[in-house]
Amino acid sequence: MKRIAQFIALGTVLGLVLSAIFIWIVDWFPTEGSQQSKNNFPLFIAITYVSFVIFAIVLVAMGYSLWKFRRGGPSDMRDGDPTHGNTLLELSWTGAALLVVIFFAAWGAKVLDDNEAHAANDRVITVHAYSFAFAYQYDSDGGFTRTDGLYVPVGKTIVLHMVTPLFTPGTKNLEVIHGFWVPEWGVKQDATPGVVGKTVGTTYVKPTRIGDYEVQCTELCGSGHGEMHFKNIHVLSQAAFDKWLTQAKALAEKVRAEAAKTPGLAVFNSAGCGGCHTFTPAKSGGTTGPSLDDVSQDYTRAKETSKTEAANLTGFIRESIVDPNAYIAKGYAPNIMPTSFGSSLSATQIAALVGYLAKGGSGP
Amino acid sequence: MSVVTSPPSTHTPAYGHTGGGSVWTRPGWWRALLWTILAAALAIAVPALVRVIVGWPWWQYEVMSTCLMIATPLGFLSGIGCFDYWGKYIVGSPLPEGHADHGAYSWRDYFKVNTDHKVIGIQYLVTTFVFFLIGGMLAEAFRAQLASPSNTYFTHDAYNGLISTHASIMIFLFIIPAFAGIANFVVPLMLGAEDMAFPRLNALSFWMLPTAGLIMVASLIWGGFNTGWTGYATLSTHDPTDQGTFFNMGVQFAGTSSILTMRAPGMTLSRMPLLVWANLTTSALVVLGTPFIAASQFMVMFDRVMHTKFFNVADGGSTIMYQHIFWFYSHPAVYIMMLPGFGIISEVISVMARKPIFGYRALAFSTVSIGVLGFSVWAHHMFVAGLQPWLRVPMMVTTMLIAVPTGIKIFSWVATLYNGVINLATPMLWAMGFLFTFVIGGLSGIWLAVLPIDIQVSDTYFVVAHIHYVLFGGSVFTIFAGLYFWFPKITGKMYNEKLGKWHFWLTFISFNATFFPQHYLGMLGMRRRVWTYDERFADWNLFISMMAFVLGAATLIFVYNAIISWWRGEPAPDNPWRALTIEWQVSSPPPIFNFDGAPRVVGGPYNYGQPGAKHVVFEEAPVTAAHH
Repeated sequence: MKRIAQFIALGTVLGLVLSAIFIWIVDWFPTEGSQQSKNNFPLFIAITYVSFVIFAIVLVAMGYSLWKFRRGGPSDMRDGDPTHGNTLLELSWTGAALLVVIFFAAWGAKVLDDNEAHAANDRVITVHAYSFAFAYQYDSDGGFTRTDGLYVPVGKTIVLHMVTPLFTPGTKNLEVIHGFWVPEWGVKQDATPGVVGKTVGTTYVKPTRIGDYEVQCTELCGSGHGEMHFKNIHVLSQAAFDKWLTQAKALAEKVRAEAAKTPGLAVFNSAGCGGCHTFTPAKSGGTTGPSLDDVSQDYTRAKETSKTEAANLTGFIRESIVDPNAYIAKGYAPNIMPTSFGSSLSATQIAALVGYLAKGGSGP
Repeated sequence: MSVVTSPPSTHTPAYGHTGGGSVWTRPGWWRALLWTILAAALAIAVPALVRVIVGWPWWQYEVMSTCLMIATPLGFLSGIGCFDYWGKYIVGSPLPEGHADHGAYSWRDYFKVNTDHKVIGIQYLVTTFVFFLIGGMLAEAFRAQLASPSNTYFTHDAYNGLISTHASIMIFLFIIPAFAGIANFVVPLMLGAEDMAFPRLNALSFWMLPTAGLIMVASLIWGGFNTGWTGYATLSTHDPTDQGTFFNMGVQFAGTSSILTMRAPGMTLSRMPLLVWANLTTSALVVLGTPFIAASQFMVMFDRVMHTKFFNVADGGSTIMYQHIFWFYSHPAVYIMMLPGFGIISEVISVMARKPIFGYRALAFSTVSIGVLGFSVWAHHMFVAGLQPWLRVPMMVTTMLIAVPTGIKIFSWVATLYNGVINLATPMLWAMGFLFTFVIGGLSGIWLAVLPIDIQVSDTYFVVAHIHYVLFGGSVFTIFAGLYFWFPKITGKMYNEKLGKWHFWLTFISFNATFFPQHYLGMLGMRRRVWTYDERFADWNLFISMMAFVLGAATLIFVYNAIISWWRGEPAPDNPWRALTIEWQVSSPPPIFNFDGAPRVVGGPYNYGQPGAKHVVFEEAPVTAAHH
């Protein structure tokens, strides 16, 4: 028992020295850029100390035996002490391990709870992650979207909802999982296609340090994953943020007014039609699907071969959007175009899009 | 006590000669080649014909590649002779004598379907080491890429292919089957059984390994699957290639588990060596968990080939579901890769320290409790995935509880050393190296379990460091400990001690130099699975790459040592470590039918320090009658 006390004492000293080296000299924790990472810091420090102490105690006990109890040589035929165990000792280390584990589990749960503290009126921003970029939608500020980075005020909790569209914008590719991580903020959250709940896929951050930070995608998402990191997270002072917000809102209003003049074109662009279809008025050149410049010829051909029951051109276009497999243009295969536009677009949007296409791009 | 080897003449190697016929009709490599080609032709012709009849274009990549990957392995396995016995049984042909394809009488027998657990064990070990070298070379390739953030040796997709194939090969074609190899060779001997319970199933599962491996390596030629070894939907272009391996492992371990009913008389549960306890628990994990991974991969395959909608969110599927099913197997899989290693370490430490293992019962129960707890922690891989928030804290608690039985093991091994007479031969060096690295891997595991820390470091190099500390510093170190320990028994030759020590020290130092700094990089912000990184991490990455090359070179020492010692090493004594367990009481290598006397277990397996203690005695009864 005296020997065990010596191992523990020596191991503790050694462990504390090692921890101090890692914490103060190697300095291996990232800069604290948020309340969340501040909450994490004491936990990181404590678990570093405890881990190195446990490691050092094992090392000291092992090293002592390896140094002291060695075989004399090939002719040394002695056996060791036939001890089979020691119930008190076994119970003690089981109990000690249990205590350490419970202590850190409780502390971890507490920190998690603190990290997710938020109020009902906190600013909500939806993060749209897709291959291979992030866009930020300011839900609490009128719902405008920015693709040039995330701007947030210092000292205010932000609620970040992670969303991934079903299809990569402008393409027919199914989207994949992405991750959102700003190391200095101490939080990370995946954005998963189809996960749109308000508590699932949500993270909370209260930035405490003004500056520019990098966001990284942390879930392998294909060939562009390596480049999916952007130094465009801007934490601004409240005054600077207010100024930015005013400008951003004015810009968004201008864009909205433009779009209101041509609602069909706006839907055409936001739904990503141009990724697959050529349509000269919208300046799109996709070749995966048939050209929409010829849509009235397609209607005539479909009518002649009795492959559509649509009574007129607009009906045919509507059918082709909500039920793309009803009529397949010559030279193209079925099941390529997504069948989800009937539900993902609103009735107003579909009407605007149909009108826009039927009039060859000249209508609103 | 040593036992005389059965004279070869008493058991004629009827294998490969039954029925005569030409090389194209009897089981073997020529027939395998013929049937593989025929199967490939059928796999293209049949779907092409059907497609032409219904008026579709005859060629469709997903359909054809899937048919090929199902048909050609079956063609190969049938051709080589895995199904001959059952085939004859079904059609009612005369069956070959029960032991017709049992035992190796020449080196050629290692290249045939064989039902001897010792031959299968060696087949496993040699095959898995080939895959270990291939997987290692892939790692060296991407470490070369990572030596500088601006290297462009590979395209982005090729890089993703390298890391994915590296992980899949190391996990599914090296670590898991290497343990299967050791268990195959050693466990029946340890138990006093004359073979596995289902020897033909056992042979079939081995032959699936090179088949699955070939498909996986071949995938590299087509650019590789580049989804990471986890193959998350919806990114999964994950081919169904893994199926073979997973199925293989399931059948294999099912075989191991059934052997427990074949224990020698007197082998009560409390007299079972800890390696057997470990493999028993592992088998339970495999049997319960494998159907889940198989299901997840089948569902991905169905989505890809048949356009089902399991994970297609656009049509009502769920991507999170894939992760739940995948990790419900793949977390227990971590223990599948670790528990057999724990068993090996218990054997090596007790024998080499000349002491009974400290706390036998606690070690056995902790193994079983890790197996049980292992099924209740899978969601800790998904803390940032968008899990139901309430599920996180319970999963953190269960995960951390696993640290308790793991701690019990570490402390018990250290206590076994105290007051021993320690022989620091190569197997013991690896066991000690394992203790050092596995404590680090276990502690970083506790870090990862604590939610706020996990959220910061998941999907970073911290996780890369952790997984290599437990799978390399843990599993691979124990595989080396076991290989050096049983090398004399398996080959009948002694390995070169000096080369063994060089191998250990070079590996130990370069391993820690490669992987320890990765904790630091991950914590600071270097994410995993990227071909480039921030400039500020460049110096450390160059250092890591250099150390990774040393680590690769160290492995070549082992390969050289194993080949040269097996070829012309000194003949090994029957019991070079003076161990008590049954496998050491027979000749090196063991006789074809394991025991020429009937083993009877009379005491515990680790009673060192007690003069005259015996684990087993052999009764000189004629054993031929027991052969059926």
